[in-house]
Amino acid sequence: MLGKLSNAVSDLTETLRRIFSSPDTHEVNPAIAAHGTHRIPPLSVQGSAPTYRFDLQTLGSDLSFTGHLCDGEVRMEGKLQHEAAWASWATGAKVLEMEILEQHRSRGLEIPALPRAAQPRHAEIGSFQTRGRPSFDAFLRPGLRSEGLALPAPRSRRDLELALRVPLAVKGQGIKDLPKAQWMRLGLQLVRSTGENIRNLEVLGLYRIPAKGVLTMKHDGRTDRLMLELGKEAMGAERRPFVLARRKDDRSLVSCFLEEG
Amino acid sequence: MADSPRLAYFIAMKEGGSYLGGLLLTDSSGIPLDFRYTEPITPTKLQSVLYGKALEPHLKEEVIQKTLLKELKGSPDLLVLPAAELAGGWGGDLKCPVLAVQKTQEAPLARVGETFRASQREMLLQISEGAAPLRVIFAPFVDLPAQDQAAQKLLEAGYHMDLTEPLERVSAALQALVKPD
Repeated sequence: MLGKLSNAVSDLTETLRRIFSSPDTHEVNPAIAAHGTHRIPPLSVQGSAPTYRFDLQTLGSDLSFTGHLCDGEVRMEGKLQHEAAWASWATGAKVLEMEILEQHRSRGLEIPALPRAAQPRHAEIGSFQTRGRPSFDAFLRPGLRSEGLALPAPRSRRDLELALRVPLAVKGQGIKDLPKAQWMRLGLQLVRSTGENIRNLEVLGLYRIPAKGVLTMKHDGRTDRLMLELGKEAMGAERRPFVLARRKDDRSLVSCFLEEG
Repeated sequence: MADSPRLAYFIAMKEGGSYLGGLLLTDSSGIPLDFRYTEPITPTKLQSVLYGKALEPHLKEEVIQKTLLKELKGSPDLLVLPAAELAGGWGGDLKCPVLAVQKTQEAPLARVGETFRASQREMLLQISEGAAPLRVIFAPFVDLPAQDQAAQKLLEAGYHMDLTEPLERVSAALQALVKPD
């Protein structure tokens, strides 16, 4: 029992000691560690024989060009050349003699004058020998060419049907200027032919058109003309007076040929 | 009917680099009697350069027009050209009078058939009652008596037809030839 108590006391003691004991400290060395220097050994190169090597080998060329001397003849002549100036200059010079250790003897040295004028040298230049070659032939006489400038007569074609297809404009005759008797006769024929009441008709115009061969007909109100498309039958057909009128109630057109006389 | 004047209307036109012409022969009512046209003529570059400004009149008068007139069935009583063709002076040598007809806005002359001579080559002609007179321009070679005779034929034809209208038809026909639908 006492033993357990003493153990408990010692545990408590140890516990209290740990609680109230100072925390652990660690020593840190504040000194900056000096970096050590290292010596890098210099790179060394070690030559080694290559595994392969290239040997030059002279190969014969497949093509050989041979030079040919041109036949231009050049003659070379040797000529003796004489240079007198240098010789005279050399002969006028006196060799300097150094008299060593001879005292009290001095002698002026004469320096030969340079030649006052250079002697011109005359060298004959051989004339070039050339050989003329004919380079151009004489101009040939130019060939004469004749361009047809005349404009030829064109081929003509006949196409009457084409001309007939183009609408023909037929102008109206002045119905307002017709004499009253003629106007009455015109109205009577119009009523008889169309069966319309004259009061319901507005006369648009009186035209002279071919009695046959008219394919299409169109009234141009702006110019008061009839535009006719004709067929071949219209050629030479009799021209007869033709009245064109419009119904007032439904605006439809009525027409009739008039009997002349 | 045999005495009714036959009018020939001629137009030459340029389409691109080519020239072609048409000649329409009508009776006194404007009904076509014959129509001829030429195939297009294309001058070479050398011809264009060497002919210069003379190319177009030469082609129209000497080449195209003469060819068409030669091929025409019968001879016309009057040859009608566009006024612009006569303005430059027409050098043809036709037997029939050559003239141009233009509409005007002049005041009507006193009566149908009356003429007013504006110059040696030009006159106003009253075709129909109350309408503006037509201007008629003659080629230089048409003398005064021939002009008066031509005016009578115009007057006769003008009673039935619009004298300026057939030229429009020739132009339309040529256009239809070069530019078919």
